[in-house]
Amino acid sequence: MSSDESFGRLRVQTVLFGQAQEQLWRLLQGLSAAARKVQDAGLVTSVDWALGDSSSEPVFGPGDAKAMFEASDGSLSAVTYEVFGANLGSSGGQNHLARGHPSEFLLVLNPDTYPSPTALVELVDALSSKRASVVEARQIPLEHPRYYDPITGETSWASGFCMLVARSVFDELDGFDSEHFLLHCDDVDFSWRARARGHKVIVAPYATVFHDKRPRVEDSWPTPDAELYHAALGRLMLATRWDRPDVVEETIAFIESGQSAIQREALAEFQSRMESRRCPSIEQDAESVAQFIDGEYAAHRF
Amino acid sequence: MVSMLHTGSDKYTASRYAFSFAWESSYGHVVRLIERLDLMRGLIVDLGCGSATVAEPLGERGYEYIGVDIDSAALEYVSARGFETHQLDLRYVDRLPAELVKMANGRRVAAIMLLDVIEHLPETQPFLLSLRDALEQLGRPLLFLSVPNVAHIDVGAKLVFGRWNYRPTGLLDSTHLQFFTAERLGEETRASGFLEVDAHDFELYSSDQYFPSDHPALSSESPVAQAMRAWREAVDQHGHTVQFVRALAVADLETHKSDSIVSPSEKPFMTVVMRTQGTRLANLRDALTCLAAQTSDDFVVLLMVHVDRPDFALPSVNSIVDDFHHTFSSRVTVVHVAGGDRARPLNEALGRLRSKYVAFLDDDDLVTANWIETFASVAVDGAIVRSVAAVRHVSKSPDSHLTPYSVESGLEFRYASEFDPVHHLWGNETPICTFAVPCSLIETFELRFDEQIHILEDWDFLMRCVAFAPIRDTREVTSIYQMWGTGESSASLHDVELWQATQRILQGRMNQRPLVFPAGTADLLVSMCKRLGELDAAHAEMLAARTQVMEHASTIEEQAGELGVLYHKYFMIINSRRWRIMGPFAAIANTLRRRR
Repeated sequence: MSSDESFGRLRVQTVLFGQAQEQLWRLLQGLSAAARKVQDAGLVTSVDWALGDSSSEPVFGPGDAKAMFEASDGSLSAVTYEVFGANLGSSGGQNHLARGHPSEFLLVLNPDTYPSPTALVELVDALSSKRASVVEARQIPLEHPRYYDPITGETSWASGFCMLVARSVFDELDGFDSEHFLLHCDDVDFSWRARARGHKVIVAPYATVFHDKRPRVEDSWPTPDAELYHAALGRLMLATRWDRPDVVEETIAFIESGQSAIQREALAEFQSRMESRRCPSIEQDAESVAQFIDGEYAAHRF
Repeated sequence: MVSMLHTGSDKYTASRYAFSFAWESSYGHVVRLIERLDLMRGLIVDLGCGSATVAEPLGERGYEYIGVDIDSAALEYVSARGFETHQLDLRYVDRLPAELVKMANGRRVAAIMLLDVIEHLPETQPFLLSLRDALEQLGRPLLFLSVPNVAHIDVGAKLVFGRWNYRPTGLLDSTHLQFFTAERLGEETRASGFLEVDAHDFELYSSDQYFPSDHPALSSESPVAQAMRAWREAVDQHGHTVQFVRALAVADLETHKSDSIVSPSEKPFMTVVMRTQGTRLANLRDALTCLAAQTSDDFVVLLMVHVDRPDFALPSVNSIVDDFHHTFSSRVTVVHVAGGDRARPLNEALGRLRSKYVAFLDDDDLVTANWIETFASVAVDGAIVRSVAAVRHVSKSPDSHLTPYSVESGLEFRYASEFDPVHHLWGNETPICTFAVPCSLIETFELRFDEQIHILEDWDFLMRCVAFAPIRDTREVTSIYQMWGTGESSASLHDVELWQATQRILQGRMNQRPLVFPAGTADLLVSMCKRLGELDAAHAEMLAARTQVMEHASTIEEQAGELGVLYHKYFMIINSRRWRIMGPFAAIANTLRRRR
């Protein structure tokens, strides 16, 4: 490792799917300020931003990435934009963007976010000082209810809305399992595989990142069909990999007794994959890592 | 006090403008104002002097009075009292400087007076500009103005009912060509190069327009009159001013061209007023991050740092703001505010607004990305806009090094998505982060938060605002109001008793004002009355049932008592020695007796 690399390079990766350009330009502002701050603090030597587009109609045109790079006023070492030409999902898109681009730190970041100026400093610092391998930022304004140890920050899994990963661990795990987890539970599975290999997964409470969630009085959070589909499929896949046939059965019974056509479609897909042996193999020592608690994948604080 | 002198011109004393001097009149206020300013002795030139009502009192105070008018009868009447007079037609404004210089004839001029004059001129500004030239040439003496106020509540209230009663004299003198409000008078005089240096306005609760006294616009018992007086008082302090009495000094014309005037189209939509004491920096950063992430950039932030000693807090807050991208930080103005209670920084901010609307966000509350955009979506017709807050419980972390604060609960949706004006009389359903007020409303009524109350200042402010403007609901949840279990917030620092006491005080204040509700409120009240009736009926039923149960219980108790007595007797008998020996035989004997 050269002396230049001893501080580490940070690669930020964002997978797009039909977002408005304005949202990404706004994110660029937040990311630029946070990138400048983390470089000024001497925690990383450079920050580059890779955008990958899974949309059927590309979000950006030629020249936009260059314009974004120029607008970053030197706080980003590069801004790249790649049209995938297919929907690779968040996990496939992240793996694709990471391939062939060496860096010491990898930040998986949703497009509907806005990091606070100190977010990257806190994330990188937590990764180093707490000897963790996966660090999740704290979401605002709606905090995730998942439990984390108030002293160590350790938690069951880290959300992919904003997750900093040591590159060596990302490579060790061969990235996200995009074959079985296209959109949902990819981050849970990734975190559990990291923990199963002895790596720490933590929350950094001071690393705050705005996540554009909008609650409603009537049903708290409106859930789109695609999310319902992938959440159901992801849960079935996750329970299969992490050796919980009881959770699989319980989930199937729930879907079959419910009224959601989209969840039934997910169940049909799961059963088809089972028949054609396209389901994940069971992890070793699954019991010591996986948590299936009250329909969630961790104990919740509220 | 000087009374009307009948020394020469009976013709003029019969004039409608022949007023006698009284201290409790606009004339008395002019003399008092001159006394108060302690002008150096010299000439006082009274332009449009009429009967020269103030001539004697000014003469008694050592000033050399000169009466100027076009009316020769008036001048004859004044000169007969021993005062110097000059005839002049004030409509020829170009001649004014030369004529006045000629009149002064090298003598020192202490003041020029225009008492009840400018409202009779066809145009105000050319006259005042010419007069300003004259004053320049005369060594800049002060100008004393006395002008009737057309915005007296008596005039305005009657006009609402279609009445506009001209009279020979007074507020609606039939010869008036111009009408003045405090605002117009200020604008005209500033535009003509005058600066107000003192004022001693003359007020009357009931003016000469207070007729007929039993008219619903005027009668003190009328709710309409009460409401209109309350509104008028809320606008400025001139609802009962009959006559503006002002002292003006000549100033440079250029100094009054304001650079700060911004056309409405250039104004940002929103000013977000954020108050902080600089003690919750992590919370502040979070709140600012929420603002930086807004889907609309059409807003600026006034970040009010409320600390007595800014040594630590101000640099820390500035540093947090500077960390943000310049597209956001350039829209944040950090202002240091010292002294006062919780409302002081809000009021300081209200005096600095340069936008169409103002909203408020405390440093520990959070908003969704569409907070501004949602407000903007319904902000029309000068309406107050209102969104909904979700509540969550948070607590201060025992170790702030590890965690800035802990979230203890999910979201609670305890606030109604639609504004209910009746329910708001009882308590607040609209936290400070959920409403935005048009700045025009704040400017018009000079609205401020009440610095005398230590909590619920937002509720009090909102209720005073909704008395004057419609309210539009977005029905969207766009903010997270954090209730602190431990640590600092108004919800945790003040105990329930203080909240209840303040609530009662504010309810008492609301009760003192006439209330106007928007259309549709009657239905709300009717349904509330219906529900109350149903509750009363249910309560009565419950009481009746309870009485019945009590009666049954009493009967059962009596019967149980009797039973107890019988049982006691039985027990005594059964256990008596005689019964044990003789009882069975007695029973057999009884049986045999019955057989017989």
